[in-house]
Amino acid sequence: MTLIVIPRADTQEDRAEAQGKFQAAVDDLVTVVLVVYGDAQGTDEILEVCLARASVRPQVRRVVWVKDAAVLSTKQRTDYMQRNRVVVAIGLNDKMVDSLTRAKAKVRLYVEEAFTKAEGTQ
Amino acid sequence: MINLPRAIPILLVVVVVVGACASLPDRQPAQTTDEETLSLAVTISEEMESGRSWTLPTGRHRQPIDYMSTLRIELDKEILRKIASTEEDVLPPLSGEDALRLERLPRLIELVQGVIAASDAVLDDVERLLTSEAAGLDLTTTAVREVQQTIHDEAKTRGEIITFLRQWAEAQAALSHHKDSEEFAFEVDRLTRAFFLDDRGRDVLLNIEVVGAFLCEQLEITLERTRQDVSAADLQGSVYLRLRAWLKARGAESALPLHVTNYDNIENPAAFKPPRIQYRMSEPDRQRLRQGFELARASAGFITEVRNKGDELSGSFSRVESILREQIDILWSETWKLVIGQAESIKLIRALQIVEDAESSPEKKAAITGLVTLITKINAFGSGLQALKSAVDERPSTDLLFYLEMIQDRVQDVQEVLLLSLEIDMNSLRVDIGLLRPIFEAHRDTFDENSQRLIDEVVANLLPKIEDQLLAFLNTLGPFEPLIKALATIGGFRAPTLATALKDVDPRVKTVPLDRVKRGTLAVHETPADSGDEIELRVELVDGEGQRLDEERWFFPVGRFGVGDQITSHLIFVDRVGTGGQQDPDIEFDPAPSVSWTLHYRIRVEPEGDFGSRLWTFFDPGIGFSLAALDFEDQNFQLGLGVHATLFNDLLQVGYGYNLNADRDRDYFFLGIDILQSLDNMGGIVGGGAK
Repeated sequence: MTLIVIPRADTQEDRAEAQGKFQAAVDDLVTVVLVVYGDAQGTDEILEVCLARASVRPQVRRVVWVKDAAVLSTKQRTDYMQRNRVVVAIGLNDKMVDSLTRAKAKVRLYVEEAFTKAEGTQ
Repeated sequence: MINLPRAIPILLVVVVVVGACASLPDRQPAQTTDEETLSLAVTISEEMESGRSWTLPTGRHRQPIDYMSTLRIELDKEILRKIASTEEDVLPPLSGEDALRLERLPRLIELVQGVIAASDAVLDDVERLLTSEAAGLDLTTTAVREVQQTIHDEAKTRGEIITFLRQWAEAQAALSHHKDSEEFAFEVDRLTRAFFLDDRGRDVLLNIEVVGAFLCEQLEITLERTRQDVSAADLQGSVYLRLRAWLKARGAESALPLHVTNYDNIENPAAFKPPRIQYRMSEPDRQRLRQGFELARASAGFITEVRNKGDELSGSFSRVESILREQIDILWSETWKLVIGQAESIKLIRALQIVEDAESSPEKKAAITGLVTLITKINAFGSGLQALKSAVDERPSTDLLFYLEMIQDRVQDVQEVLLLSLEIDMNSLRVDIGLLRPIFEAHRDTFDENSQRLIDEVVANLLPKIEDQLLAFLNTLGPFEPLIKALATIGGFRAPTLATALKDVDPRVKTVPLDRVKRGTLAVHETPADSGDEIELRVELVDGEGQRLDEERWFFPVGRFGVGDQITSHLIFVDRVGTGGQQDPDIEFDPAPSVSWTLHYRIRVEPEGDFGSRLWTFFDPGIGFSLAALDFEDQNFQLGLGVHATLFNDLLQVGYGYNLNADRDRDYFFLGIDILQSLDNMGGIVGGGAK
C-alpha cells in the first residue's frame, strides 16, 4: 500500500494508534517515506503528485498523509516536521533528509528528488 | 649705434637661464606596467659608423643617437610569448549554465545509460526480499543491508541526473521569476515534467528517452559553444608583432615613416647626410626646401600606390566611380526610402526594448534583441548611404584618400547588413515578426499609458509595414553583392584593413606572428635624420584583427657624436680694446651681426656615466672662428675676425677678435648670443617645455 493515512484523533487511544502507525511506516527497513502534513486547500494536488511519484517504485516508496500533526508525539514532531514545510522525506536510515514548501511539493522534479535523496541514505 | 652696457648683465642671466633650461634632460614619459613588461622583450643597440656599438637602455624613453648610426632591434620571442599569454582572456567568460554543462555532461551521459539496469536490480532485490518475508522467512540484517545498499547506489546515480536537471531548470526559471515565488516552481515543473512522464502521460521513474534527448541537446549547445570558443581563440588568440619607426624632422609638422628591415615594405626617403665637419654654410633654407620636397614626394608616392591598388579592380577609378554613383542612386531611391524612416525605426526599437525588458522567454528575448540589432544596423547603413551619396556628389578631386576611407567604412556597414540579412533569411523573417505581435499584445497591460500607446501603434501600423519593407529590402540587397565586393576591392584590401590603415597603420607595415619575429634594423644613416630631429620607434603586440594589445614607444633625439661643426649666426656685443680717438670713439658692447663656425666634441652620456661627461654634455662647449660686421669708425662696413668659445650648443659665445679695417685699436672682446636658438628655446619653455 503506497498511501498510509494518519487520521485525526480525539482520544488518547486514537492518538497512540496513529503514532504507532506513523512510526511503523518510518521504521520499515526497505522503504522510504514522504510525509504530507495538513488538510488545507491544495493538499489534494500535493498528494496526487507524491502518490504518482511513489507509484513508480511502490515496493520502496510510501506516502504518509498526516492530516493533523497534533496526533504525533512530541518526539515525532521534533524529528519529522519542519517549519513552513508541508512535505518531508524520511530515508532508509529513518532520518529526515529533505523537506518541501507547498509550491515545490506540487512539482514532480522536487518530489522525485526528495524520494531519491531518501533512497540514497543508509 | 645703440649702447647697451647696462643691459648686458641682464641679458647674460637670461641667456644662461634659457640655455640651462634648454639643456635639461627631457622628462621621461610615464611608463605603465605593460610598457615596462614589453620593454623587457626589446633590446636596442646602436652601431656607430666606426663599427663600435652599445646597447641603449630601453628603460629610458629618450636616448640620443647619432645621425650616422644604425639601430638594431632584437626581440626576445620567449618574453614576447609570455607577455602575449598574460594579455586579456581571448574567450568570453563561461556562464554558470555553460560551466555546469561542461563539468557535468560527460558523466551524466555515462550515468543515463546505467540507470535502467540499476533500477531493475533494485526491483529484483526488493522483490526477492519481500517474497522471503511473505514466505515467513526471517530476514537477516545482512540481507536487509544488501538491499538497502542496492537502493542507495541506484539512488545516488539517479540523484546526480536529477540534480543536474534541477539546476538547469532553476537557472532557466530564474531568468524570469523570483526564486521563492510560486511562478518559479510552476516554471520548473513545466520545464521538467516530461522527464518523469511517459508518452501517455503516466509517471515513470525517469523517461530515459526524453532525458537522453535533452542531454544530446545540451551536448550540442556545449559543442557549439566550444566551436565558437575555438574560432574565437583562432581569431583573437594569435598575437602578432608590429615594429614601426618615424622621423620627425626639426620644425616639421608631420613625421615620415622609416623603413625597419623585416617589418615593412617602406622605402626610406632620399637622405642628404652632411659630413660631420663641412667647413661651409649649410644653407638651412635650401635644406628645408629639400626636406619639404622629400615629404611631398613621399606623400605623392603613397597616394600613387593607393591609386595603383585601385587599378586591380578596373584600371580606371572613374569607371568605378560612375558605377558607384549609379548604384548608390538606385539603392537610395528604390530601397532606403522604402525601408524604415529614421523616426519610425526609433519608435520600433523603443517598443521592442520595452517588451524585451519585461519578456521572460530567453528565446523570444533573443529574437527581439536580434531584431533590435538588425534595425540599428539598417539605420546605420541608411545613414552611411546618405553620407556616401553626399561624398560622391561633392567629392573634391584632390581629396581621394578621404573619399576612399569613407567608402570603406560604408562597405563595412553594407557587409554587416548583408550578413544579417542572410541569417534573417534563413530563419524566416516573416515568422519572427509574426511572433512579435502576440508578445506585444500579451504585455500591453503591464505598461504605462505612453508605452501602451507606442506598442499599440507599432502593432497596428508599423509592424505589418516593416514586415513587408524588410522583405523587400532583403530582396533588393541581393543584386548589390557584386558592387559591394567591387567596392571592397578598390583599395586592394579588405574594408576594415584599409579603413584602419588610413586612420592609424601604414598598409606597408607588416604584422608578424610571434614565432617569426626577427631582428629589425633601422639604418639611421640611410634616412635624412640629422641633428635636432627625432626618431620614434614603436613596438606593438596586436591580435588577429590588428587591434593593439600592448605597445612600447621610444623617442631618440638625433645628434652628431664625436667631432662636428656647425655654422650659426650670432648677435655679438663688441667691446673695443683701447679708447680710440675723437673720430673713432670708444666702443662699449655695441651690437653687431656675426657668423660663427664652431667645432664641438659631443659624447654619449651613458645612464651610469660619470659626472664629468654629464657636465660636458650639459654645457656642450665649442670653439671656433667668427666673422663679424663691425662699425668702429662709422664706416659702412668693417670686417672683424675672431676666435671664440661657445656654451650650450652655441647659444652663448665669448671671444676675442681683430678688426681688419680699423686704423688703430683693432682688437676687440665680444659676447654673443644665438638669437634664433634663444627664441626657439623661449618658445619651448613658454609652450610647456616641448621641443
